[in-house]
Amino acid sequence: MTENKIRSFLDNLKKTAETQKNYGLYREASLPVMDAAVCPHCGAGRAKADGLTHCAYCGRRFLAVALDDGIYLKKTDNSPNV
Amino acid sequence: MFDSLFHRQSGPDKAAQLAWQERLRDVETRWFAFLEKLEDRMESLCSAALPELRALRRATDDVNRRVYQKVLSGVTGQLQNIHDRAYHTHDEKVLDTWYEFREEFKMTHAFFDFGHTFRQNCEKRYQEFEACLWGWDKLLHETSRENLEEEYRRVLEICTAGGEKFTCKQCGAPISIARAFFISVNLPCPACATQNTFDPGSEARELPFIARDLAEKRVAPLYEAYQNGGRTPELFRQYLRARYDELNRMLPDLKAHHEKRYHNEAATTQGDEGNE
Repeated sequence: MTENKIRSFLDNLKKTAETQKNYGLYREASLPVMDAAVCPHCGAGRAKADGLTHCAYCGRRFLAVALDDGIYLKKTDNSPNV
Repeated sequence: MFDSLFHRQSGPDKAAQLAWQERLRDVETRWFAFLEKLEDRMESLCSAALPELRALRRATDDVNRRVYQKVLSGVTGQLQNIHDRAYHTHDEKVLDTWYEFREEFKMTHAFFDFGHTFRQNCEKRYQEFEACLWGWDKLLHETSRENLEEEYRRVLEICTAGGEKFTCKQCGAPISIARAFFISVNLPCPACATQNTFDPGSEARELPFIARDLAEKRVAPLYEAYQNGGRTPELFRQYLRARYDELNRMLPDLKAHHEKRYHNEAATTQGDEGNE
């Protein structure tokens, strides 16, 4: 292959790679954000001390599943007495 | 009567030997020239592709680096083609000639050595070619690991949100990001204790993967020492421990997970089997 041939081969390869349709999941680039889940019933936020799965004021369910030990969340973060 | 037992067997005559000599020399010259041509092609292809790959790897707009991966596999596919061509040509031209020669001249024949030298020369040249090819292949794949330190620092910066100030969604009090988070985490507001969810963004999620590669790269000398030092279980354990210590330093939040992995790997990997 001559220089030109290699150049055009690489350019074609790049162009195909860029325009080819991707299958499967695609993660969009996202920036760091801060957000808070607020109870849609009473507007209260959640505090760690009161448990994270249910609203401490009106008892509305935030999460249907029970929390297990993870990297940051622990079993102790489940709301008590629910 | 004993002549045939104690003397080298008689075979084809002088004229046939000369013809063979000519033929083997011809095949050898052609084979060498062919491999040289393929090597030239590999060199010009790879030396043009390497800067392209490095640039694509650095591009940060594609989170999954799909373009980079596709171009890389395109180029290594070309290398594979070159490899296959050499393999088949070796099969058809060199080995077939050699088998034909071997049919005609038995091992005890005086002329056999000439053919044997031909075979060895071709084989040696083929091995040199293969070493050259895998060298290029390694260089191409190395492009994904070249800037790991730089990449790690950049993503670490993103994980701490680059010192950006965030406020509580409930009361507006500032919440500081104390350390690097690579997944979403609940942070309590220091004023009202409301749990705020901090999402460090898409690039921060790459941190564990970068750290894993970087840890391997940082302890590479130990792995080399293990390979050159007789591949003993003791040396392997040293390498493994150093790798996971490095990981623990980079991702202290995952320490429990790393320790579990260390014990699994140390228990299941025999020293002489090596890594991966």
